[in-house]
Parts: sequence; C-alpha cells; structure tokens
Amino acid sequence: MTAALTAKAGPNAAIRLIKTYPMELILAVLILALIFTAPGFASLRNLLNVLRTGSMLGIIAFGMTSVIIVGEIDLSVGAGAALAGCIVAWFAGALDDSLGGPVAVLIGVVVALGVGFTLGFSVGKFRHWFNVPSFICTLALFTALRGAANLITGGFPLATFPPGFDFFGGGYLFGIPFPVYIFALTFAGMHFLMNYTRFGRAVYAVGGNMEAARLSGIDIWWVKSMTLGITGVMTALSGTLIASQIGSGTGTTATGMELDVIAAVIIGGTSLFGGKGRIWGTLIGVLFLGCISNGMTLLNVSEYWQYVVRGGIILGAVLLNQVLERVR
Amino acid sequence: MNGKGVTSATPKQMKEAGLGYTPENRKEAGLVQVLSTHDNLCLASLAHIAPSGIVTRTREQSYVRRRISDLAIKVPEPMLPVSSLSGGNQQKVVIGNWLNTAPQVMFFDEPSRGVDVQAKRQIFDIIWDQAERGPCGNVRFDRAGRSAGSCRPHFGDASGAHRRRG
Repeated sequence: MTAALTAKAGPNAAIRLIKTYPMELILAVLILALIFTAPGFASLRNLLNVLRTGSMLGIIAFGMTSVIIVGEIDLSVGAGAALAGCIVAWFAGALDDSLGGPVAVLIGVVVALGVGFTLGFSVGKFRHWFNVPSFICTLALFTALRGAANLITGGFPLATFPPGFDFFGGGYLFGIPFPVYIFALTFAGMHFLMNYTRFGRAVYAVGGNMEAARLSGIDIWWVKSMTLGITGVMTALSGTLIASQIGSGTGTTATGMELDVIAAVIIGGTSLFGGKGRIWGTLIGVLFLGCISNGMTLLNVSEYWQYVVRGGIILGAVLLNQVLERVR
Repeated sequence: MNGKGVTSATPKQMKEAGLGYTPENRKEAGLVQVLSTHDNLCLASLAHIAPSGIVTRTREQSYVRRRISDLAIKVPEPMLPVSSLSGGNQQKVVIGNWLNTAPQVMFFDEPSRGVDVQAKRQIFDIIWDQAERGPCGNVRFDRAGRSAGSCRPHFGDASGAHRRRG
C-alpha cells in the first residue's frame, strides 16, 4: 500500500502531503493570502506583535495539550492567568518597601507559580478521590479564581510593579519580544517531555486507555494530576507576562482565554477523546488563531464577525480531522 | 513474593515485585488501541527501557524488534496503530509487553479468547516455552479450557527457578 503510493509520484504525492500536514498547509495558504490582501500584515512589526499575542496563549496551550491528551480538560486557565497577575501585583505592592521591587516581584512570581501548580494538581486529585470530573472542578475554579483575583485587587487594577518590570511582557530582546523566548522555551520543554520521556509515554497511554495503562503499572492519577499541575504553572507564567505587559494586576484580564487556548489545541489536531495529539500541532493552532484574528482586524472585519468566523474555524478543524482520520 | 509479604497490591507494586499479567479482555484492559504496536510493546516496561526517564525510539527499538521476532507477531509496520492487527497478533503484543518487563511469574488470563486456531496454538507454545526457560513461571487461568492440550494448568516451580532472579 505504502510502496504503491511512493512508486507513483505526482498527484498522489500531493494528496499524501495534504493528508499528513493538513493544518500546516492551511496555515501556509492563510499566511500567503494575508500577505497579499491585508495591508501591513507582512511588516516585521506586525508579525512580531502576532507572535507576542500568540505567546501568551501558546504558553498555556502547550500545557493544555497534555491535559487534553490525558483525557481531562481545564476551563480555569483564563481566570488562573488573571489571578497570577494579581498575586504578583499584590506582593510587589506589599513587600516593595521592606525588600525592594525586584525581590518582591520574584517572591510574587514564585507564589503565583506555586498556587498555579497546587490548584491544577488538586483538580487531578479531586478526580481521583471524589470522582469529580475535571470539567466540573475547573468550571468551579473558572468562577472562583476570577472572584479571588478581584478580591486581591479590590476590583481596581493594581499598578504596583517596580520600573522595568514591563520588559517581561512588553520589551524586546535582540529585536524579538521577550514573551516569544518563553513561548519557544515552553514549546521545546513540552515537546521534549511528551516525546522523549517516560512521563510523556504515560500521558498518551493513560489518555488512550486508562484501564490498560493502570494494569501496565502506570500511576494514572499521578500522571493526570501532573499534567494539570504543569498547565497551572504555565497559566501562572502567562498571567505574569500579561500583567507585565498591561502594567498592572487586573482581575478582569484574560477573559474568555480558556476557550481560545482549547481552540488552539483542537485546531492543532489533538483529540478530545484522549490519547492523540502533538505539541507541534498546537504550535500550528496557536499561529493559525493569531494570524486569523490579526488578519481580520487589519481587513477591518467587525469584531462580531470575527467571533463567528473563529467558531466556524474550530468546527471546521474538528471536521477536517475526523474526515482525514477516515481516509488515512 | 520472594519471601517478602505483599499487602494491598497495586498493579505498579506487583510489577516491581516481578509479576506479569495479561488481562482476559485485551481490547478494554490489555492494549491502548489508539497507540502504535511499538508503543504498546513498551507500555509496561518503560522503567526497564529508560531508567533515567528519558525515552528515545531507538532505545525502544531493540525491545520491540526482539518481541516481534521472538513471538512471531505479524505486523507490517510497528508504528501503525495496534488496532490494525488481528486478534491473535494483538494478544501476542499484550504478552510481549509484559515479557519486556522480565517478569518472574506471568499470569495469563484466558489468553486464547477471540483468537484464531493457529494463533491459539502459537500463544500456548509461547507460554510453554517461557515456562521452560526457567525465570518465568506461568500460572494460567484458562477457565473454560479452550482446546485439548492447552487446558492443563501449569504452575511454575514455586521454589527454585524464580529465586535466581530475586
């Protein structure tokens, strides 16, 4: 079968290419189309901005990919990102006088990352001990964390950061926005974790068949909880960058972000049924979403239409994957 | 187990103690259908293959190749999903997965269910073969005695042979 396909080059080779790299090709076509139609899309400044916005989303999406592959879901990442930003801002304000700005921020970031991990890991443990689905647990957190973030700030933006802190979210290093480096690092880290470690193999096995994984001696609850914990850390990291970019800890930032994150993962070909998906695919999904929103804004498409189009894209991506699954 | 008491056993503890188990229901409990034959053969033995925690395909390859040739698993391409294999070959993958953990005792729970006659024969040959090699004792729970010559339960020598590894 495979030999027959390779023997005949030409149209067959093209079909195989489309089957193997559907989203990559669609992204390439989209970028080409935008270069020719959207004014200013191809400028370096604009492309770097697309990357910067995509980074905030993508950092979380890489963690979310592992959560969805393992067969769970995390709806709390938007609220979690806002909470992380507020925690950092609170520490920056409270400890500024005694310890100085940088140390205060550092403590805030460590606490935010710790809280992110603990919350994520607990969601997994709740599923283990009380059989509460992660969907419900993180739906509760989705509301509760948003409230907690506003409790910390008292409902107003907390602009307590020391001067220079805006570099992490808004600055450039060697001409490239700083968050893009974090984005690249988390991509490399998660790609390695999912493809070259025992943990990554276990994630796929647990997501594909929990019972078989358990009987193979894999600690399924530890694996599930860890993916949620990792996503919590990524969320806190992204939330810190967002707070740095806007210059304050604000309880209302990153509203609706969880849906964009999940959309990016799904567009990247990860199956909501578990066991299937790639970090690379999520990278494509993040870039795809970033280019689409940026392109539509440049083309003066109204915001309301943008929502409709994004909804269509999510549905279309899932349909495409189902169809390709059948022809493969 | 090797003179040590085991209480409230989890699959993980039993694996570490040197037990292997092929469940009777390979579709629901034995294999991860969406994963490749390659991955399924390494599922239980990742701690053996990669003690450091870092796994590469090349490192797994030797384990996979060995089981495919030892157990005569008919698999056109190990990287394709295991669900594309026939029942008998899937059962061999389940067995291979556990043999890769180098168990001292193997439990086979109805290993011949949903398997064609020829593969059934081969699977029992594998079980006898493993039993004779010593380190791997076999206890078989083949409840309904599927065919003559295969329903004699065989208990691995409980005293001598297993201790060699422990």
